[in-house]
Formats: sequence, structure tokens, C-alpha cells
Amino acid sequence: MSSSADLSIGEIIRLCLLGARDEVLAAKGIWMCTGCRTCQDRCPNEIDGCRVKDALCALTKETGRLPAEQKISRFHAAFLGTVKYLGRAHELSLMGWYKLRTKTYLDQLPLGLKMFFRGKLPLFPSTTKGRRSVAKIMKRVRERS
Amino acid sequence: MTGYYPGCTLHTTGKEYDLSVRAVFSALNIELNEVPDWTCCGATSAHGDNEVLSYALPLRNLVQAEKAGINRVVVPCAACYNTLCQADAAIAEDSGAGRKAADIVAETDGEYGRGVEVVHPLSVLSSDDVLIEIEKRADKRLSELKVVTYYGCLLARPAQRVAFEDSIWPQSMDTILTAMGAQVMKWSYRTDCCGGSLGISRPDLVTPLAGKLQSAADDADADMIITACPLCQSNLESKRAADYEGRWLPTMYFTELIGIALDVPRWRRWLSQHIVSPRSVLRAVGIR
Repeated sequence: MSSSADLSIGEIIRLCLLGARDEVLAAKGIWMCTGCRTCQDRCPNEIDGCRVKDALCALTKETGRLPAEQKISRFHAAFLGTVKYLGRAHELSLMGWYKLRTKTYLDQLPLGLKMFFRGKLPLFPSTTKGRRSVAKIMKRVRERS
Repeated sequence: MTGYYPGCTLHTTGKEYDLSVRAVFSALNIELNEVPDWTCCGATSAHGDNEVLSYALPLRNLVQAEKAGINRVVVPCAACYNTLCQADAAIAEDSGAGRKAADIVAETDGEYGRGVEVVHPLSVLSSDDVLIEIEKRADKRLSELKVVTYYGCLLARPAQRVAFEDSIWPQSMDTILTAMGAQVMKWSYRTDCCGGSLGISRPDLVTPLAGKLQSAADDADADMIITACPLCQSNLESKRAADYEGRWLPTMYFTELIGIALDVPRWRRWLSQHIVSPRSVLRAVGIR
């Protein structure tokens, strides 16, 4: 992803070391990261690029800054939102939530319809009683962070 | 007892993966017991939100498995496999975030005694005994099929916590497919990222990655890409840029090919689940 992002993971780490807080928390690169874990696996200096990037994303939100990639941030929020209520991710709820927040109603509609008619996007969520535990876990993680 | 953790995606967009894993394991007489009351592992979204959450969500499932008497859990989805392995490792390493996650899950679901081994179907199906069985029973109908094997990111990285084989040059899928007689073509992209979970929010970032992989598979003279991850399968299948020129190969799960080779009941059902149908490629090599 580094060829498309504004900053590579190496540049992100360097900016952290230089204390360039505003610049790094405004970076698109920290959101565009797919989490492929290549940097985590291969850094010869054993720097965990993934954990650094994850921490920067969390810090961006904690400090009330606007994520540089709103759609990506909202996607993850929508995902975790369905998990909080249903205990499992539910694509249709997730898509509904995401599209409302990003106003991307017609994006990838043909693909969505193809998936729907193949039974890949069930109307009703698969859920379980464990969802109550999941909601409690998410609440306690928030409280103790 | 061997458990089974399908994860959210295998019930939805990865349906054919779930069906084929269950069918293949059943055909090989390996009983799979679904983890009772399993919930989402958190996938990519949890670790981008909070590290403790990224361990707590999968950890809950390990606790559920342990309570049910499961000592080995099969996890087909690469993201779920990765998060469950990492949660287990965080507890073993007694990391700060791991301990916090363990404390929270102990309150909601119970203590984890580290009694569950997290395994991927690739490692089970490529193990010596099972491989011999597959080789014996596969009817060699795949012999004209030319494929490339695509492992993706999360099965192999970070190697220390997650990999069950070499993380730069994995071979388990190649071994299984070769044993069944398929022609596995050489290529260098087996662990290059497909774009992961950006498919919905930034498909414009995923289409070049999917395109690069498709183009490389075409250059390798393959007719199909074989994967072991539902997100990879989805991206490789459906993220074709409007201006992409060149062949767009169908993408199947390795368990679908095993199911075909073992002629398990109703394997043809899986084919209609695909967005890019593999039927014509299969027909061209005599598989109907």
C-alpha cells in the first residue's frame, strides 16, 4: 500500500521519532494500511509497525482529530457497531450503517446485488446469546482504556 | 475433541468456503464440532480500534471452545485464524494488553487455560496422514487444471505468532494440490496483499492490487487462482477495475478443489456461489 499512501510505514515511524504528532496523526497512510503485517514480520530493527499504526489510529480518535480517511474509519466503526449489537458482523446492517454515514448509496451496487442474489448477504443476522458478553467486553475495554 | 470456528464471513460472503471445509472434513472422517455460542473475532477492525479489544474478542471464543472440551479448533478464515492465534500468543507472552484482555474475558465468560490449539485447515489437510488419504482417494480429474496458489497475508504473518510453515514461501496448498494431480504454476505473489478489508471503503485502492495479482497469475499461465482466505477470494474475484485489460481468472478455495477431487456430495452447489463462475474453466478440463 505504500505506493498509494502519502507516507510509508518507515516515514511514519521516523515522524514519530521526531515527535511530529500533528503531521503523523493527519496522515492518510495510517488509515490506508491494510494490516498485511509485512512490516511487522520483516523489520530488521524489530519495530512492530502494525502496533504503531494501530496506536496512531486510536490516538487520532482519542484526541478528537478527524481521521484523514473518513470512509475507512467509518467502515471500521460500522463493523464494530454490528458486532456490538449482534455479537457477529452482519454485512447488510454494516453496509446500511456505512452508507448512511458516508452517503455512498450507489457505490458498488451491482456487486452488492450479485452477492445478495447468491445468498451471500443474508437479510437476517446470524446472532447468538454470546452477543451480551461481546457488548460487555466492548464496554469494559472502553472504560478501562 | 476437534472444534470448528467458522467466523462471521463463512456464514455470508464466504459461504462456499464453509460448505467445502465441512464437506471435505466429513469425507475424511474428521469430526468438526462448532464452538458453542461463538462470536466475532474482531478481524481487522478491532485491532485498529484498541489492542485490548483485539485480544479480548477472539479470546472469548477460545474460552468457549475450552469449556466445550475442544482441544484443537479448526479456523478456515485467515483473519479469524490470525486473531485467535495472536490472542493465544498474547496470553502466553503475558503481555500487558493480553493480561487486560484476559481479566475482562474472565469476568464475562471465564478464565482461559491455554488448552486450545488453533489450527488452519491447510495445516490439517497437508499433514502426512491426511495427505496420504487425500492422495489415495483423489480421482485425478484435476490433472489438466493449471492453478496458482495464493496464501495472502494473515496465514503467515507475524510468523512467530501465527505461521505454521515458512511465511515467505508457504507450500501447504501447493503440496495438497500437487498430491491431487493439479498443475501448480510457479509465481512470486503468493503472500502479496490483496487489499484486505478496504474493499468497501476504498475499492480504488484494492483494484490495482487485485489487478496486479490477476495479471501475475495470467503471466504464470494459470487458469485459476486458489486461495484460503474469504477476503482474498472476494477481492480477487470481484475487484476488477473497469479499465482492466487481460484475462480475469476465477478464484476458488482450496477446499473446493479437494471436494471436487474426492467427489463429495453436492459440490456443484458451491460453484453457483461464485461471482466469477469457475464452471467454464472446470468444464474445459473435463470437470462437469
